[in-house]
Amino acid sequence: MGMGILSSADAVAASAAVLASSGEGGTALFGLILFAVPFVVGWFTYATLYKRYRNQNARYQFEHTTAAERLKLQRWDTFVREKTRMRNSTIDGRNDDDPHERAHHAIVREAMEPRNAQAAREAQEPRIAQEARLAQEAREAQATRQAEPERAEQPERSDQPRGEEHPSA
Amino acid sequence: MTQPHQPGVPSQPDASGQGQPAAASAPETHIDTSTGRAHGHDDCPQCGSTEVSRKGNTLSLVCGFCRYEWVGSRLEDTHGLGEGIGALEGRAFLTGASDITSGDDLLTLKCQGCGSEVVIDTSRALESRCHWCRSILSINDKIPNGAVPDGILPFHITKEEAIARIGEFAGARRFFALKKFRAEFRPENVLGVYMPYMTVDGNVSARFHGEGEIQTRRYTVKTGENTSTTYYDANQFEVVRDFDLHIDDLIVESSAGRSNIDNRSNTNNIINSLLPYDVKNMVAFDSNYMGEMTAEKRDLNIDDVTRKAHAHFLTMARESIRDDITAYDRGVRWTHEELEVHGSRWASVFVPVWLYSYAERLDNGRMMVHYIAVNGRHGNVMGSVPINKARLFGVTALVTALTALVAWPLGAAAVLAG
Repeated sequence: MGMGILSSADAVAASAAVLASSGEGGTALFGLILFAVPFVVGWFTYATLYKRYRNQNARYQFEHTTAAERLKLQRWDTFVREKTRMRNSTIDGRNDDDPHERAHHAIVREAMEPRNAQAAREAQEPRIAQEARLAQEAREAQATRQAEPERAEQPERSDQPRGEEHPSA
Repeated sequence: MTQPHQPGVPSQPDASGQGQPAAASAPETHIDTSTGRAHGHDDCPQCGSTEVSRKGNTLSLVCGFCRYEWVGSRLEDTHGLGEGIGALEGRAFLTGASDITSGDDLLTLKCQGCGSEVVIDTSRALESRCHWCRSILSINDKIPNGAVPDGILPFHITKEEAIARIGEFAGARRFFALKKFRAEFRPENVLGVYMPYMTVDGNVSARFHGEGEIQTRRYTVKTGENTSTTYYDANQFEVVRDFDLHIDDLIVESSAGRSNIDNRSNTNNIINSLLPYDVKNMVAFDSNYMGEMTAEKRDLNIDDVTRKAHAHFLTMARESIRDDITAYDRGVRWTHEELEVHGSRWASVFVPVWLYSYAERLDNGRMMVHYIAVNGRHGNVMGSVPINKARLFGVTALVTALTALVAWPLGAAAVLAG
């Protein structure tokens, strides 16, 4: 612990000395920053010791330890535009460096049917029978049926109330 | 990096963040691991004695009466669990991972030695000794309450080794440990427990869509007498990656109590952090491997853990593609990610854990159980030690004050000089 205190104090002194010797401006700002340094060091000390005892961040590193083989990789990299005079050194909203951070739109699906069957179905030619069916003329039987008079023996459905029998509102 | 062929178009996104796995409709295949043996005596094949135990740290079983030895069968060999991941379609599951259909933990067995009835609490143990004739009665086949897994990884680390490792771990964390914990710490009270997990293989395909930037120029512009600003120029690309991933033996908790990882109320993350285990070496379950150890019963079905497993698949897919986008030195912002699980294969397994627990009463009156746990196979140890917060605050304040003693005079000098 004593070593830690000395090293942090040494670091503060060393950085101050470096800045003073550089002769650059912003000395006043640096002085203000030095006022905040003890609180940062205190917070860092507390967090480090707490983590060492409680190990709250310990977890199964499944993404690194589970065997996985990547196959059939396809890439598309399409130039969009050139961007200039950006202030940040990294892309805005970068998330490729944290695989746990989900993208805005994420979908996980479990296949409903065998993959090969789906691929085979997509690959097959459109059915000729379907085309033929669409191309054929309307059936004669349908026209005949429409021409027939209504069957007298068709019972009238009694469970449907008639419109005029509805009680008026 | 290839030049554009045809930018990929991801399918309709789900604004909810993650689609629900369509569990009920996925085609299922059952891989039978039942033994067909009746519960009760698990005899030595040579002499018929039930005094069977594990031989040291090996996978062999030995008869305590005639010293006959035999070896359990590895599930990887007997059921080809490490093969054919790319051919998986729909869900395949071993018998031990079948849905739990019974809530009865107590099982009454009739002793074949003397005819008396012996009750086994299958939520804790899968063997019991007949109190009349002293023969050992075992659960020899799967039962519908989830207590019997497909495979088991027997302990490799002995109790003495576990005690030494736990003592070393806690010994290195004595200074800020709770005073009561230091006084009551007895590593010899460590218990060996078999924890229930599921292993899952996945045949998945992933598609990611986003934007990436490659820096072309970095320059600093002077904006005042003493100030300057650094600017970056970059080329922006639309990035799409589409690939298959064959995942082998991802491990997920199948106990509701252990899968609830919440650092504010429990230290289950400690047990979780002992993963992975060498599940490739698991042998077909035989209660003789358990000996005196207790076991925790599985109480989650495949449907209960599917969502978590699929989320892990997606994370693994994201991790697996990182090495392919390193050319984008300003990084990639993935906007769409899509994972399709074509097939999965599930098995249940008992893994060995040496567990030391300590219950701390928190300021709000709640109890927090701290675990120090040892992986029973390869011995890595992880733990949570209750903290003496007064001492920790005191040392933190001292460090802060000493740093201020150095930094503030320098700061004051700098302000005055500026």
